[in-house]
Amino acid sequence: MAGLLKEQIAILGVGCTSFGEHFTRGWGDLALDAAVEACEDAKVDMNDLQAAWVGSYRPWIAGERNTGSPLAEALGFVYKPITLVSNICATGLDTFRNACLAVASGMYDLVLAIGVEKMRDAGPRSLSLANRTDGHPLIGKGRTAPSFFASCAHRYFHEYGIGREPLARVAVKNHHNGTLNPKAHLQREITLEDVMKSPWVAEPLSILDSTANSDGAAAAIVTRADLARNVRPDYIRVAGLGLSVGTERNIFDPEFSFLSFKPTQEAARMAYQQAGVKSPRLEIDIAEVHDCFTITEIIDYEDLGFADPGTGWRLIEEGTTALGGKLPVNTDGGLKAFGHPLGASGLRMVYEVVKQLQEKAGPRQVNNARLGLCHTLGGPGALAAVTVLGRPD
Amino acid sequence: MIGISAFGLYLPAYRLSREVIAQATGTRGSRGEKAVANYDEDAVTMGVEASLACVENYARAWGVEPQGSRVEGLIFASNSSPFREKQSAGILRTVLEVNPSALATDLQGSLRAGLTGVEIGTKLLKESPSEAKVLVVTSEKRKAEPGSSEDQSLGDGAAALLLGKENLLASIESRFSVNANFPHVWRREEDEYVRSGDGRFVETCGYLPLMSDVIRNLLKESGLKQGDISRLIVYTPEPRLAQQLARRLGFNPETQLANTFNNQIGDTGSAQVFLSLSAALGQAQPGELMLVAGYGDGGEALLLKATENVRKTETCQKMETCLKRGRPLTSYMKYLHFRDILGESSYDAFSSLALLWREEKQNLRLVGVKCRRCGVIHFPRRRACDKCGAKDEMDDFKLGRRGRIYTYTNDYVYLNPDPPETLAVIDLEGGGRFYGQVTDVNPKDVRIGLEVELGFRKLHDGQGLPNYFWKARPTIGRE
Repeated sequence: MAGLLKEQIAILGVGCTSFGEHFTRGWGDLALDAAVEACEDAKVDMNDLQAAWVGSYRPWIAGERNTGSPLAEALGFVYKPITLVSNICATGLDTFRNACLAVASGMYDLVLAIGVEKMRDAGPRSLSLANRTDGHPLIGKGRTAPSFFASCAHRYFHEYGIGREPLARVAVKNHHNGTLNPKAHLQREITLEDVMKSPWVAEPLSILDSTANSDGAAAAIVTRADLARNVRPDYIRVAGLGLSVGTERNIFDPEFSFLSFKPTQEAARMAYQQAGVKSPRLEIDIAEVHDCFTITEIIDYEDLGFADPGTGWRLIEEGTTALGGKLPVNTDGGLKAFGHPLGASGLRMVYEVVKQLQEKAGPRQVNNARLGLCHTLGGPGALAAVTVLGRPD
Repeated sequence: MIGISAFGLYLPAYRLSREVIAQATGTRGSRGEKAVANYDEDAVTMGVEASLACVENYARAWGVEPQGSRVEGLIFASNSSPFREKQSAGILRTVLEVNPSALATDLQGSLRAGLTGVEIGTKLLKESPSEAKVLVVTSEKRKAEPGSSEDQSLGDGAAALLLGKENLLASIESRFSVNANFPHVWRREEDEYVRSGDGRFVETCGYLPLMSDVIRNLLKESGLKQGDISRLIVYTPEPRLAQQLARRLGFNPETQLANTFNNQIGDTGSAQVFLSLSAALGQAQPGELMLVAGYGDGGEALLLKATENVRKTETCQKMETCLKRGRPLTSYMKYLHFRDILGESSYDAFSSLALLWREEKQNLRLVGVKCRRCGVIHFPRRRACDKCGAKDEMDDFKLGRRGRIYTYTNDYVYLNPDPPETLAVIDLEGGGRFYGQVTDVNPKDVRIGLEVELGFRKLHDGQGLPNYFWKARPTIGRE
């Protein structure tokens, strides 16, 4: 049936570098570290991999080329099929999706999906620089990532009558989760007051409402479920792969509300259908969602069906999405505290959800998590990917 | 009969007090303040603003839009055009959608260039049909050396006059000009800043005798006496000199001399007499005679007579409103930054000449498209409708320039000489949405629902030439 995976696809192993300011490590160093860890976790020899998909939004910023070659070189993995995937912040999950589809096609049965980004080789504003210099010379000039989400926040405040506090609580929660994660970029507790007093990035969002700007890489080894079973009983099943690509010109669309993102809703609809999820707020046990800014996480709750429109902020106020809550979100610190190397983020989420489902998440382990979700959002809510992963049983 | 059908004024929002300049440069301060172009403005953008205001004033006074297709000439007079080589009038002509076969030219080299433009326009109209119009635009953003006396005196601004043969606020009765090679102010190819001759010398041997000569001769040729003139409108680098001139000619400076606004906006060069005349037209009674005299390598004077229709200016832009728009620029450093004297001029902006050229209709003329099938207005332009899937079923749709803020932010990340940068989503009157920068605004005043207007601005200098587009700014009131 169209829109459903024909084969059972499995994750055999995952790897993830620590995220942060890796001034001493290059793009290739990070790629190698993540890939080696994933291979060790999967107990496979890297030379046995048949193909690779590498996600990197702007490898050229770190001196690499927009091709598969930097990965071949970094891993010494040459003369094999390697495809570069780039879909802004959804790059990582789309890379993973393409690797899964390749296995589902029957052409390969052991492949690598890896996301790598060196943000800090381009200076402290590389995220926003991207938006300042890319694209049309005039249209929407001046738009930065924070300015877009800040505009969403102002409208959200206006429509639903809330202030900055619920947003600040998202940052407090994710920072707390980051302290339980040795690989996270930011591993310190912050208070509500810290966020409220933090300097503006784009009103009404402060520095502490914003993701860290980090380097990092994450990888997953993808195979068929029937093969995975023989290697490890706790392999992870790929239950749903949604991707929805809209237009970045939505900012000019008279009908666009700045309150919700259609690509998230669509990608979730696809992934839920494939995974047989009817009521996400009851069925999903843990979620890694795109929290580039605190307001984004609140809007994500609504778009992913965890809350009704205009009520996402209540999940934070009620503690539903905290560790120990009914639906813990961003247990590893999220983009906020783990960091956000664009191309790597989606695979970092896969890494966390796999560890949680395998009960290997250490001090941040969620009890009996069976079904997990990963979500990344790209551009001004222009595109999104949603992946649903589950335990094999 | 040929005369003035409409005027349009534009003063930039910022005012720099002369005390602030004096303190920063360690010089002696003089009175008042001057209008200062924002970092995203130049003579072309201010000229466009004044021209758009002129078109709107015409529509208010006469109940119809002046047709771009009936404009036979577009003359841009400025001594501070952003280009040494390339036509600024051509940019204005495009933005204003004026007939491409109209005469379009830049006049420069003298502060009386605007009145020379009126003379050319008058000659052009003589040969043209009765509904023809000529737009003469003056605009200045002259660059003065920090600490010089011009640093205190020069101000920025623009004004436009629409000349015609019908629908006249005032008729042109006669003119007189005198040419002289006189070194009062100049700027050589290699000069960054305006230079000027010794003060006493240029007044005694240049300004006073030349202006006296041209005004006396105009009165004589018209058979008029000083007492017949209700408004004497003269260019002056400083108010004292205009008063001296008026007294020397036998006018009463208190009752006859028009305000030159030097203490409010500074010496706006070629735009000054256009601004003063526009302000005077706003107050004139039918039948009044006005004498306008410009200066620079000689002098040029016009005699104007207000028609019965001059009362229609009540519905038009007022000089007082434009003056009231001013808000203080308290930092001299910022002023230097605005003028690219200090600091990084702008980031290394991406641009593409081919793309800008291809998209001129969209970027300069604000023409989007409307889907014929589902009626949605798209800006930027597109061929495929993402709402209904129609392909190549779009009609041109000219965006309105007024609207309200749907949402916004004040951004501290984007590099901008006047931070923070306000970005807003604007729902436009008549349909369509604009997303872009907001300029000339106090970030504290921005809110959802605020009424704004799109103004013409320079975004950056990518590919080594000004990249013009639109930004929102607070509406310039007409109350």
